[in-house]
Amino acid sequence: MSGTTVTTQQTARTQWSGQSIPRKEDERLVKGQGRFADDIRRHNEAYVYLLRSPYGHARIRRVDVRAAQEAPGVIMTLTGDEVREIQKPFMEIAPPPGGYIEDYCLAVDKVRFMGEPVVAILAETAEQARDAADLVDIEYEPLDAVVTGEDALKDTAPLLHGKVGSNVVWHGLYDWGSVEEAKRQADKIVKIDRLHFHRFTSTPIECNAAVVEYYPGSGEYTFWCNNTMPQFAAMFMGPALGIPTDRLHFVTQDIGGSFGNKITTYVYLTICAILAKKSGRPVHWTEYRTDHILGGSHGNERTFLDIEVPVLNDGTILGLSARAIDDCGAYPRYEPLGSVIWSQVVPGVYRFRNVRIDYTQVVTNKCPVGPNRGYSRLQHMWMLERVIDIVAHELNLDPVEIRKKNYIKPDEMPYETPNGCVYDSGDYPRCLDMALKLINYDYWRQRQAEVRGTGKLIGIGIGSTLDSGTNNFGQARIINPELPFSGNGEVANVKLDLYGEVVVTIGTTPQGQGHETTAAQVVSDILGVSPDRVRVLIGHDNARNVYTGFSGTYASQFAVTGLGAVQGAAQKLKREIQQLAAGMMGSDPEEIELVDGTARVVGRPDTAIPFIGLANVVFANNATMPEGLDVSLNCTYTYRPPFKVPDVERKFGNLTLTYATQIHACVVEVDEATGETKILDYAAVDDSGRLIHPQIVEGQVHGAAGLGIGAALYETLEYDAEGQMLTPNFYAYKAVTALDVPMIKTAAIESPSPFSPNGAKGMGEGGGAPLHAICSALQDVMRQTSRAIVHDSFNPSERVYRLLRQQPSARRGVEVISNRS
Amino acid sequence: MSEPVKSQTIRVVVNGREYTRTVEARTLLVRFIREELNLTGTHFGCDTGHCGSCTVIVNGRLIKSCMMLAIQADGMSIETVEGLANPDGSLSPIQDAFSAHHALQCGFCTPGMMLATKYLLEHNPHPTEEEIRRGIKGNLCRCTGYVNIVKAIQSLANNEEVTL
Amino acid sequence: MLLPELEYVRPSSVTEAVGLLNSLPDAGLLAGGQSLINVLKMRIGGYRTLIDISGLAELAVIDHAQGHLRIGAGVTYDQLIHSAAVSLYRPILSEVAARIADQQVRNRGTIGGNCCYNDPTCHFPPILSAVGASFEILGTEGRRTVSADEFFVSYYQTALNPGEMLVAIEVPEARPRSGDAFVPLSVGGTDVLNVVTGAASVLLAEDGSIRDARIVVSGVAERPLRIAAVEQALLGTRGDGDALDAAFRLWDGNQLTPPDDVHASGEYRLAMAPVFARRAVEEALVKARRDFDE
Repeated sequence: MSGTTVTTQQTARTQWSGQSIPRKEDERLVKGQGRFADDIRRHNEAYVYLLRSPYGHARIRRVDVRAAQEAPGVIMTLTGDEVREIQKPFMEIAPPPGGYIEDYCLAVDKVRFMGEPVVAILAETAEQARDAADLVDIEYEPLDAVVTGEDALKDTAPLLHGKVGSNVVWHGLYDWGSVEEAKRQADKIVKIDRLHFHRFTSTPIECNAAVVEYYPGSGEYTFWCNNTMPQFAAMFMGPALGIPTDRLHFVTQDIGGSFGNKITTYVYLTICAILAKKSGRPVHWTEYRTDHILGGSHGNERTFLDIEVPVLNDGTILGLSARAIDDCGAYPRYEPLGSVIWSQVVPGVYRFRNVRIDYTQVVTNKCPVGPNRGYSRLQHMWMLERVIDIVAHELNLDPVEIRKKNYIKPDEMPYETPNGCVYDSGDYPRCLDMALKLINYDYWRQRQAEVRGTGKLIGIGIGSTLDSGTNNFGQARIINPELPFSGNGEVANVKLDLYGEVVVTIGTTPQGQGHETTAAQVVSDILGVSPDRVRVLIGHDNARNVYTGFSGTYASQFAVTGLGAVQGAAQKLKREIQQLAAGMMGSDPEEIELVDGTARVVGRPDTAIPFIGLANVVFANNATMPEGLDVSLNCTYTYRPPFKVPDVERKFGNLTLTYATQIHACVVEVDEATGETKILDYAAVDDSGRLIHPQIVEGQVHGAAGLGIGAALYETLEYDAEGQMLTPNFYAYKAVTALDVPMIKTAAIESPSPFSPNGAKGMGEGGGAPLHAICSALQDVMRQTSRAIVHDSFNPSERVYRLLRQQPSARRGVEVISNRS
Repeated sequence: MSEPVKSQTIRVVVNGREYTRTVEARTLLVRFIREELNLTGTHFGCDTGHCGSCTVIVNGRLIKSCMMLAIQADGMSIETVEGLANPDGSLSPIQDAFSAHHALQCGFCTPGMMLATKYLLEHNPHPTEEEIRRGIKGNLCRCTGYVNIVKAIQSLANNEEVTL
Repeated sequence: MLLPELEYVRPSSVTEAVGLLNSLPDAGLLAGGQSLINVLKMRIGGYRTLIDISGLAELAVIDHAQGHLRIGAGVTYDQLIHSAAVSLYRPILSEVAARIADQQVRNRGTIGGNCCYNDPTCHFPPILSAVGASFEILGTEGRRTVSADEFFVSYYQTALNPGEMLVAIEVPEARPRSGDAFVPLSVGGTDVLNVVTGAASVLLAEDGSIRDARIVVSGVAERPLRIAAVEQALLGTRGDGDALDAAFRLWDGNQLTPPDDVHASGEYRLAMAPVFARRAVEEALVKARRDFDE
């Protein structure tokens, strides 16, 4: 691949795309006129309160709701016993036996995590519903809980779902190349006992909310909500409620962040649907923060065991083998898709070709997980970056040099990974050099030596990651060959309305990514109007917008699939306008250009027909239509990436279309006496292919960095041995504040994707690079002191304090075996 | 001696407009603003007073409206995000700066963040970066990493021409 | 966010507030509300009737007389930060207030509320212990004053008896050649949650030796802990590295059973207590020595 350019020298290829124009979303949002789910009001609405389990694991002996039903304002209650009669268990993605898990919208017979909804109460006011919950009498029989992935696999572990016969949701062996052969060729094998990627979540500031109404006349349910993947929700809810999925009408407007966390809300929407139908009232459900942290959606926690890394003495890594145990909480829901999604980035940014991962996903008595920014890839890439740093640490190699030695080279692009994924473009060494320059790497290496012995220690760290965007859903078949999914796609409609207005609808559910703006930019360039004159309807509405089964906003794909669809639809509309104008003027469609909201013969302003004139002919004056034309000025286009169904047996195929690069570098200062860690400098270099709106892309980079820094140092979701949640609110879940995210320095290069319709790459998620970079910097600190291994992705002061004090005699959990001694 | 009440009629002035409503003693100010006055630009994102989405200005003081009872606001003057724009509907300098610097993504924390900004700059027209960060510490944002929010506020802090 | 049913009353004087506190069942005082309202939201405690003292002007006054600051219990953190008298006579109180939570909380939260809540992470209990504050309490029987050492009893418990309220806190003004310091170990980010706090107040003699020292740590015991052995050992020394080393060798945490929770283990707190206490002493000494430089 060639074509790498520095964005500061960006060429004006188009008038609007590539420019950081003011966002169309902003005016309403800064005026407080955004309409978020909880802002919706329906006449005569009633309010839902969910009474949740105080136990991590318990049998429900008895539920007595009589007193609650008698309480002032209470309309009805709903219990698990009733739900069992109304709802079929939600579909499971896993094949049997994991697929035997029965998941209902309210706990049936047992509760399996603290915060699981047990009883729903509907009342005239929110306060009355809450008050009545205090009158519900539930008798629980507490059961032993299992709260770690490793414990869940033990023979003695309590079983969450009896029908499954174990706590395993899914197991698969991924084996590409030959790790055994690599081990024979290696000079050394570095063995790492255990690495643990902790549980955290993005906690969008807007929690979940919904207003749900049932209309008996058509059997349709309307959900004004903030679910970010409505057709995924519908796929679960339709069969569960026994209704055709097209009776589920989802409307989203402004969404206050999601980061993937709002994909799996179908469980709660189902409760609301049942209540709405039974009561005949619109029902309003508001989730508060404690509910959200207890029962919303957590990020996947993953433990890597018995990691073995064959290496050459010069630091060349030949491969990797490990066991991975992924803890998905009490119910799989979106899982076990994460058990394959990590394999979009099997070697990360590295060249080694021999990989064996024995992957098991288990249930535990914790909140179910769901996609969370960097979903499933960041856990794996964190492990890879730990491996690189630990190998460098043990073999006394330079962390920069070992990376450069092992990075895939720019001239190898497009690069096929050992499992058949094709990295489209990129220049990792260059991004790394830029990141190191931004943090002034040489200066800090010098400072590092100078401060030794002063009580402060400086560490420099690197996180090299990919953001794989635009999934091939065919990878789901690697999990379950019966699943009828493959490929991906998004659809858009671009039309001229009655008075010549340009109106765009898309299937996506943006939550801050600026889809209205970037869609307008693309349309503007094609139709020759300014973005001010392009109206992109707010949000998703499957009774209004076009949509596919994949519609939504997740998995770093809008720039490719969403804008690909918008581009296609706008081009179709342009052709229709050219045909119409040519017919009206008696010229050739190829001679018509679109300028300033008019169609005209190229270079002849005097021939210009404004869009209103064209729309008038089609919609209100069609006796004047030119003969033989078949135009609607209403154009829909579905973008489909060029995917094939992966080879399920070999677990081989192209699983994502684009691979954005993010290379982060950071400098930390550690207080030797206390373990307190402070970030002194931080840089993020990204390569997201061709940029549509550089400012929005940079904003995504900042945001992903901020969340990653929070997760690396402050944010953790912890449970005790009984499954009691210890961090259920913002007192304990310490979401990072403005004082602790430094000014992120950014730079970008553009390696256009040869595979996407516009050269862009999906990039919103980031690869969790701050977790990798901060662990890497802490490893650099340990290199100067105890030589402890940074084994966890979460490193609060106390953990750093302990690592600094690890005795040389202590088991470090790492071993280097020489092959030819 | 005063008598305890379960509810009371209160009079408040919000963004210059007077409202008289009867409220339960237990009603939080944020719920009063959203549910009774239907001013839904004031948000809430937690239940412990940490996120700052419910930030409003009461009698000139920046507060979190989830930690004040509506009944306590009787006779007070309240400013919410809906009162920020210029009378002609055009954006105020703070709103303008937030948009220009891409200091908002999803926009959910933005109303509270802008009110915190207004209070900060009214009390300290030339804050340092550290003072800016301290000034918005009570407002969580999960989208921006705070970078562009700080930059937007810096642009206002360094601008003598700005009238907030 | 949905509070239980409440009754609310707004007395017009402190005397009336005490009267209500003694006549109403299950009644409590609502000052800044920055903790109490959250407790009510969670429905894990609180009161049936709230007596709102947040508007009582007589509680919101800062006076200076006879070598003492008298700070009304209803003085907000923000008031402390901007009080000329506090900045002049005991500036550490402003500095500590500025590190509490955020601007919104500082505009409503009060020093009295902070002391009466007496959570081990609260800012004022350790620093008021270090500066030798006393607490003025009003009940139906009249007024009484207790020292900080007496006021902070145990987790969430103070010397207040049922029916009594804290009306003011008296803090001696800083003397020449003295210095105060407050050094917390915050977990979860800068000034987020202080799991261990070192607070110190030192007074130097004219020759620069330590004449008096009050050293306090919080977060390792049920109340702010004076470290008398270390204080004693420092008297007469110049507080240099050797003297501090020697004094802190007397630190003995063996009898303590610090909280062990998701924020920090007891072991870590115990290890950090002398570190932060010592840092507080060092910082206080630096401030005290400034008077020699001037």
